[in-house]
Amino acid sequence: MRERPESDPPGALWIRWVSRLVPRARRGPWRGEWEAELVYAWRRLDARGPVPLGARLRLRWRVFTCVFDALDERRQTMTTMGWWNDVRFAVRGLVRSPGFTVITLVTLALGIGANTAVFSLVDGVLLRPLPFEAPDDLMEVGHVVGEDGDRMGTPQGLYLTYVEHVAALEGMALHRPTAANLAVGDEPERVTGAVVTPGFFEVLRARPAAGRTFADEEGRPGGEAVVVLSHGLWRSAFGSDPGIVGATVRLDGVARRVVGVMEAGFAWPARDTRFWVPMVIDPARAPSGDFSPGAVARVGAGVSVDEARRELASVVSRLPSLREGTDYLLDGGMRSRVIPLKEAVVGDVRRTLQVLVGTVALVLLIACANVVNLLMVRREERSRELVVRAALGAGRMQVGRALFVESLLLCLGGAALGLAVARGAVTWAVAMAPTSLPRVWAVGVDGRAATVAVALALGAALVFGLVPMLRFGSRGIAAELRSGGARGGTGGRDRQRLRSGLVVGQVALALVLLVGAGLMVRSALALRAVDTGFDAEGVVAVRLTVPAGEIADARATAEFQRQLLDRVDAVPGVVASGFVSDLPLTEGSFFNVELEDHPRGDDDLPIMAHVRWASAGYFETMGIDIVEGRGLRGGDDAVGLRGVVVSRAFADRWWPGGNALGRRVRTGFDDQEWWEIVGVTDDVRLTRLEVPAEEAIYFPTLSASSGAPRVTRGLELVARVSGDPLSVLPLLREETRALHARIPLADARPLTQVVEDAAARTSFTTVVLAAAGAVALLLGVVGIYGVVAYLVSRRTREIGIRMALGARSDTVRRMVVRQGLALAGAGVGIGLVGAVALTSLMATLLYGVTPTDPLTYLAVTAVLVAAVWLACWAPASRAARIAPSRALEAE
Amino acid sequence: MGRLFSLTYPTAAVLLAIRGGHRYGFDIMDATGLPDGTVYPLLRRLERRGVLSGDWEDEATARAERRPPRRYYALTPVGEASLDEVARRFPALVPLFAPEGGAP
Repeated sequence: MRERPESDPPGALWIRWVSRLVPRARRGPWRGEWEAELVYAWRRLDARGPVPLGARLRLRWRVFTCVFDALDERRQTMTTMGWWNDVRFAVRGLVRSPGFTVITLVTLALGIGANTAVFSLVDGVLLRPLPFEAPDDLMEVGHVVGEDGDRMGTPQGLYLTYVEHVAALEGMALHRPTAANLAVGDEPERVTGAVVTPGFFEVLRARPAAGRTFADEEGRPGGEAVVVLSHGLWRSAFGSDPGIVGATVRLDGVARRVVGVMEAGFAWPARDTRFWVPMVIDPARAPSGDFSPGAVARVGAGVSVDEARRELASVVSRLPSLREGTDYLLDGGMRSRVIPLKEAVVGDVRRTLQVLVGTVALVLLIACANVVNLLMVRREERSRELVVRAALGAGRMQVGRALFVESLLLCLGGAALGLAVARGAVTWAVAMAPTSLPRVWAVGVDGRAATVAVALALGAALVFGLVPMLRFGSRGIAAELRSGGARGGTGGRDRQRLRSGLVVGQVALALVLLVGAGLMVRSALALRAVDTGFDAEGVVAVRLTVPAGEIADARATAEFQRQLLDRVDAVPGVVASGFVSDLPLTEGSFFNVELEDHPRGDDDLPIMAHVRWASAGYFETMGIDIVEGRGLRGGDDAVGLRGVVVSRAFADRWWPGGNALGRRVRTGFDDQEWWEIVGVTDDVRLTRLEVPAEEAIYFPTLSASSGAPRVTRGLELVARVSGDPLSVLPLLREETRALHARIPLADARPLTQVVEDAAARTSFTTVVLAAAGAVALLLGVVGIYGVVAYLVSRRTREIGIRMALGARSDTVRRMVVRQGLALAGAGVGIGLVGAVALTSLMATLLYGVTPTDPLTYLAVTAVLVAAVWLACWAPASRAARIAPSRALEAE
Repeated sequence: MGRLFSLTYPTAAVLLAIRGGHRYGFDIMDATGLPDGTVYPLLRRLERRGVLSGDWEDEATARAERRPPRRYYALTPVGEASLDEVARRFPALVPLFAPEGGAP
């Protein structure tokens, strides 16, 4: 069967078909060349008689490969001439319209920057693994009592039992925070550290940079007093002395041999842990009821945390048979609580961060809506140019690419600026983040964050570039030409609808953010308005610890403390002073106590109360009102007298009707004798701003019972000062040194700072949400302004005609404003529904306000509508001033 | 002196083939034995770089043979100059494409 060479040699159709791939400008010659070769080759074959199949197939294959040539052509024209030209062209265009460029860049920078910053926070706090080897095998072991009981640590006794009986654990260690006075040179320094069981470092698989960690015998009674230093402390206090290992340092007056220095960056269990000393456990006497140590454990190879949890629970259920004196724990409903260490570290900030992520994602959405709007206006401005390009032979791809290049440039510029914004924002956020935000100190804008920023930019560029491109394609060049740049009309109806939809969406999102911000602001205000029960203004607090190594005797220590108070009182400017074991609004001791007239049976839950040790003068200094009886006095610690003060909540709970005075109490663990209630104080927010009316007992700092006297050695010295509270610090230091040279004051801060810190988490979320809300409002207003102004400019002619026909200028103004408000109204409607749905997620972050607080919703709506009204006003006024003659010129 | 194109083995073969008188696309494929799909992209690139120049054959000749005019390629001065380097780098290749009966 012979083909007819004259009309169609085999493959001609293929060439014709493939030629469509070639850019139009080069399509004709390309096709001509291939066809000519094909015809020529076919003739040569055909001329020799019947063409053998092999030769025919070879020719067919050769013709088939024209597709590679076509694709290559396509790529070459797209790349070599195209991209670079487009970039140059786009840059020139952007420079020529600086207003558009700057607004777009700033909008994108805000959107991308906010998201990058929050990604950095979330990445650093939530996503990144703990800085240990095989961190997923680490877990925290603790205990709870009852259903919603307080989270407690692990007593030494139980620790010994677990180490012995839980096979699923590779290792387990206890740790407890501590602080000590470190004597270096003349000036003693207060440093924080941790008391840890010797296996602590092995469990975490942390290795020393120099020397070694602890040996097992150093954790037994009679073991040598040793210490491991952090890299930071070794550097700051010992000038990176290479001979430090083996040297002796004095901590709280006790000489300890330095056995090792940890790697730089190792700080555990707390960020400010700067040294470690071994926890000495006497197996014969290890207590099973002191839940203060924390426990960290590593599961063995091939064991899951779940299996370890189950095995631990089963050991707990057999506790009474494994360890003496533990029956009461199970009777009280104690259970073990095992969670992955990372979860324990991250804790309950998850919700805060989730709200942050949601917030900035909304900001990015709003920013994108704005940019799409701006780009659509811009595209209309460029439509003539694009039409000309198309007429000159640019295909849909090339026109699209020109648009894409422009948005890509904008987005990359936005990302670069956004990274700068993110750096600033992260620095700021880390500085003001609450200390309860774990791991936040390690947060920074790094390569991962930069990747996110660039990814966001590319995604945005794709969306921005593609949306108008698809529209361009679907409408076709002819339609574009016919519309002549949409003279006189308001642009395509579709496009107008899209633009209005974007504005409605923006307003809705802005409303959601503003409601969130409004609720947080109301929470913050409510927290600030909380009556803390004390007067923080004008009070300075400073930590003072008397180590037993410096003054061994309890009475002498108390005497030192009393003398110091006398001296402080004499300092000019000091109105009153006192001591307390823990300041309000910080964690403190929470103990079981016993009441003489409320004996507890074996099956009863113990009576719990916050316990503080305070001196005479404390309540006066703090401005805490005594509502009944009197405050603590100098002689309350004397044998026989033994007076204590309780909070009103405690008094009302156990002796309703107000006859608490004269009742007797004692702590449940080390008191044999009773203390008499001599006064009742007003309630004070002891632990957190959000928790009112806590039950508390204030004991004197010295307990001089018939046995050995005991004294509270670590105290906060508080002084009420007329004038700047920090101004008296040098004098306080001087007085302290005059009494005893090696006892430092540490951690001085005004009491107002303590209150600030307590409000910090709410403040942090509030500020972030408020900033996001403000940005959203601004972007929303800019968006509405842009759309309304654009509409007015497009309707110049129509409005002019209206005016010529007798429309009054205020009618025109009202018409324009109404149009803007109609958009805003739709947005507000949608936004209110969204806000109700979304704010319920932040219920746990709120205080003193419900997620559907009507006042907030009303106020936010009013603010938003007012802002929209303002945004419409300027273009409306411009419309009202249109002179009919100018309207005709616009033609 | 920087070159505007990379002197690979296929490039050298194509340049030599053209000097050897194989001036049309399919002829160059036959002469060099390079895979079919690679020759045209190579020709286009060399043309864009100014190493080759392409031109249409005489219309009258084509019409006489009742076929469309073919496109032929010739070395530009740049292309001629690069042949020295071809000879230096691929000495064994040169004799294979010796000009058929003198200059093209």
